[in-house]
Amino acid sequence: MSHLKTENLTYTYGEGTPFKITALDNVNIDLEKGEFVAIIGHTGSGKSTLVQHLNGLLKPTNGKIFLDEKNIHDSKSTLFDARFRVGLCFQYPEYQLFEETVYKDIAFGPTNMGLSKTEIDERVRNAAKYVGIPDEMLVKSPFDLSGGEKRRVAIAGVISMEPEILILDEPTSGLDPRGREQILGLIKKYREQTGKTVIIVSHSMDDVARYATKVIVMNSSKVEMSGTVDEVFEKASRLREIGLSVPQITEIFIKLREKGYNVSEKIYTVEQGYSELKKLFEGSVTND
Amino acid sequence: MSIIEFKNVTFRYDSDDEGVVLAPAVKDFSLTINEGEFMAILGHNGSGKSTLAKLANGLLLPEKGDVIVSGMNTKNEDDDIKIKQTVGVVFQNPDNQIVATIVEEDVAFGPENLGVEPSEIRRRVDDSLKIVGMYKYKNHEPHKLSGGQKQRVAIAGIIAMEPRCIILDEPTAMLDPEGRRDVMNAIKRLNRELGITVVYITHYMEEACEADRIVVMDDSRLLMDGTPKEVFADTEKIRSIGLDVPQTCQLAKMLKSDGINLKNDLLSIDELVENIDDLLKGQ
Amino acid sequence: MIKDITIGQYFPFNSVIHRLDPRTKLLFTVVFIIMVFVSNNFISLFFNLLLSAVVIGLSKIPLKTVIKGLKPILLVVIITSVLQIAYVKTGIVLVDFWKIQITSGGILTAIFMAIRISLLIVMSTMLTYTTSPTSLTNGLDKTFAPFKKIGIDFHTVTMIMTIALRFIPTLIEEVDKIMSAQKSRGASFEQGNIMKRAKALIPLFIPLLFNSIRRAYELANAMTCRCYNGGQGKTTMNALKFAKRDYMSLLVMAFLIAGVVVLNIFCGEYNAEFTFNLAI
Repeated sequence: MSHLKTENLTYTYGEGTPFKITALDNVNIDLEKGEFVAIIGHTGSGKSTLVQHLNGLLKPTNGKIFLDEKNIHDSKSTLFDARFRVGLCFQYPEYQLFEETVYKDIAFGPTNMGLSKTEIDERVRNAAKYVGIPDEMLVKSPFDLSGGEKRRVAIAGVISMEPEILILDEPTSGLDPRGREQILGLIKKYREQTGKTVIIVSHSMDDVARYATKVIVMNSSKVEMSGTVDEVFEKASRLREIGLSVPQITEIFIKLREKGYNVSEKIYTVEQGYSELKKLFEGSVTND
Repeated sequence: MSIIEFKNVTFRYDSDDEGVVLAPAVKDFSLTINEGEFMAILGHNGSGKSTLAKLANGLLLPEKGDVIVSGMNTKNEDDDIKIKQTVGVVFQNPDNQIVATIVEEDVAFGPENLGVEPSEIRRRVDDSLKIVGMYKYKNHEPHKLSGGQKQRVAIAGIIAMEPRCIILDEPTAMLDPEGRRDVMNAIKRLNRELGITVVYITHYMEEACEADRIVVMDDSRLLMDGTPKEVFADTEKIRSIGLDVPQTCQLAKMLKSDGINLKNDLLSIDELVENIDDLLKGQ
Repeated sequence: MIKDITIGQYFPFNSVIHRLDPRTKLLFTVVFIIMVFVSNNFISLFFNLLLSAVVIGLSKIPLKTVIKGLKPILLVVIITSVLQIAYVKTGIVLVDFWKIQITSGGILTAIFMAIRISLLIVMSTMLTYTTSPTSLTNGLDKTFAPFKKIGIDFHTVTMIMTIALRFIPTLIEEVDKIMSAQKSRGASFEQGNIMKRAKALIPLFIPLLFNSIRRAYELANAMTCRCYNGGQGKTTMNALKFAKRDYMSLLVMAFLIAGVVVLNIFCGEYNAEFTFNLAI
C-alpha cells in the first residue's frame, strides 16, 4: 500500500507576471512505509519545494498529495493531520530555536498538538535520547550550545511530534565530517529503532549511497530518475550532466572497467571497493 | 619570503559569563605563510582555524606572541589599515559580507574606504569582477544571486583592495556543489594568474587537496604541515581527529596493509587507477 | 504579499533620468512636491500631471509598474476622497438622500485630492525607481555634508540607510523561512484573538532577533576587513559630478516653478467658475 504519494504535482509562483516560475512540474512519487528515501538534485531543482508540499505547507497549483491514500487537502482536519504526521525539519534548523530552555523548544511541537503534560514530557525525553542530548542539557538555553548540539536539538523538535514520516532538508549542511557522521548516524539509528519512513534531501552522493533504500533525482522541476541506489548510480554519466556526481570510489571502478577490468560498477563505499579489489588482486576476477 | 608570520601566538576569547576563563582558541601557534603560496588550513569545527583568519589581519590581537604581516606587527595601531589592505579576509556567510545593494557598488566599497581615485576604482571593480567571473552581473542586486555568486562578489570586493594575501574562512561551507566548484575555480585563478597568496580554511578534504601545502589544526595547535600527499598519507592521524581523507587514500591504505605494493603518495583517482593497472599488468 | 511591495525598489535601466545626479533628482522631487501642494486648480494640477508623465516616459520604467506602486496607498486615496465628498458642500447638490448629500464641489475636490496624492506618491517612487540606493545615499551624504560642521554626522545615517535597504530582502526571506519552519511544528500565525496572535509571534521574533544580531556582528567584521573606518577619507567610484544635463534640469525646474505660479495666479480665480460651469 502506498504511504505517501503525489499525483501530477505542479507548483508555480508569480502566476500572471513575467517572473512566473515553475518550481515543480508534474511530479509523481510513491513511497512505502519504512523506506529511507534520498531526494537529490542541485539547488533550484525543486527538491526543497517538493518536501514543503508533503506536509501541506505549500498548496499545489495542480495535482494532489495522498497520505495513506487520503488527499491531505481534503479538509482542514486532514491538513492539520498531515502537518504532524509528516514532520519536516528545514535546512539550518538551529536558526529557528527560540525557547528559554532546550526542553521547552523540543516541547513546542507536541504542545501545539494539544497533548497532555505527561505525554509531552515523555516525548521530549524520548526525542532527546534519539539525538543524543543528555538530560542535564535540557535545562540549558539553546543559545548556549555548540553548532552541532543546536542542530540536534532542532531535529529533536521535529522527532518529538512522533511523525510517521520524518523529512530532513539537507540535515548535514555546514557541518564538519564528524558532525555530519553524527547526524547521519542518529537518523539511521532512529529509522532502525522506529521503522518509520525517513526522507532526506541532500546533494551529497556519498551519504545517499550509504543510507538510502530509494533515490529520487530531481532536475529542473521534474523527477529525472528514481529507484534503488544501484539503479540510479548506474547512470553516472547522466548524473554528471545534470550537475551531480557519483562517489569518488565509484569513479575508480568506472575507470577500471574502462581499462578492461571485469569489476563491478556497483561500488559505493570504500569497504565494498576494498573487497572487490582484493578479489581482483587475488585473481578470482579474471582479466578479460 | 614570508607574508604572514605567527610567532608563538596564544589567543583566548572573552567569556560571556564573568569569572569563567575560556580555554585558548589558539595555543602557542607558530607558522610562516610564504608569499605566493596556496595554503589550506584543515581542521574540524572548534579547532581554532577560524580564529587564525581573524588574527592574521588584526581583527583580533594575540594575547601572547606576535603576528607579523609583511614586516608590520598587527599590534601596531598605526599600521591597521595597511595590514587590512595587505591581508583580505572572506568569511563563510556570503549574505553577511555584502554591504551595498548593487554588485559593482559593493565591490567598490573597499577601495572607496581606502580613498582610491574614482577612475582607478572603476578599473579595479571591473577587473575584480572579471577574474571571479561575475562581470556580467555587475548591475545586479546581490540578494537575487545564488550563494556561490554572492561569495564570488565578496571575493571580488576583497581583490579590489589589491591585497597581497587573501584568507578565506570556509567560503564554501554554505554552498551547493556547483557553487563550491565555481568559488574554488575563482580562488585558483587568483593564486595562479594574479600571484596572490591564498590561505584557504576548510574542513573539506577534497578542497584542501587543491592546495600546495596543508596545515592541519587540532585542539588549538598545529598538528601537521606538509604537501597534500604527505598529509593524507597518514590516514589514521587525520581520521583520529575527526577529519576525512580522500577515498583513494583510504582504499590504497587498506590494500597496502594486505601487502599489495601500491605507491605511498596516491591522491587522485587517475593516479590510483594507473598504479593498480601497472601492478596487475606486472603480475 | 509582502514581496509585492515595490516602494523603495530600484530598476536599473539606462535612461536620462537614471543618469541625472541624485542631488538633482532629490531637489526635483522636493520642488515637485511643493508644486503639487501649491497648485490650487485643475489646470496647474494638470500641468504637474503632464510633467510626471514626461518624467516617467523618459525613465523607461513601464507605466504598469508605476501604477502598481500606487496599490499600497489606494486605501489612503479612497478614504481621503470619501472624506472630501462628505465634507465639501459647494456647487450643485447632485444627490440628496436621507443624510447623505453629494455636491459637485465635493466630487471635484475628491478627484483633485486623489490626483494630488497619487502624483506625490508616483514622483517619490520615481526617485527610488531611477536612483540606486547607494547613489541616493551618496546624494544625501553630499547634500548634508556641511552639517558635519555643526556636529551632525550624516554619513552614519546614510550608511545605516544603505545597510537597511540591503538587508530588507534578506530579512523578508528569513521571516518566510522561520514561519514555515514553525508552522511545520504546528505553530499558527493566523488564528485566535489579538493576545493569542501576539504570543504566536514569539517563535518568529526571537530567532529573527538572534539571527539579526549575528548578522550585524558578522557584517561589522566584514566591513572592518574592507578598511571601513566611519567614512573618513572615503572616495566614491561614481563620484557625483554635475553634468550639463543636471544644469539643464535645474533650469527647466526654475521655469516649471514659474509656470505653476503663473497658472495659479491666472487660473485660481477661474477655478471656482470652472467648477460651477462643469456642474451645470
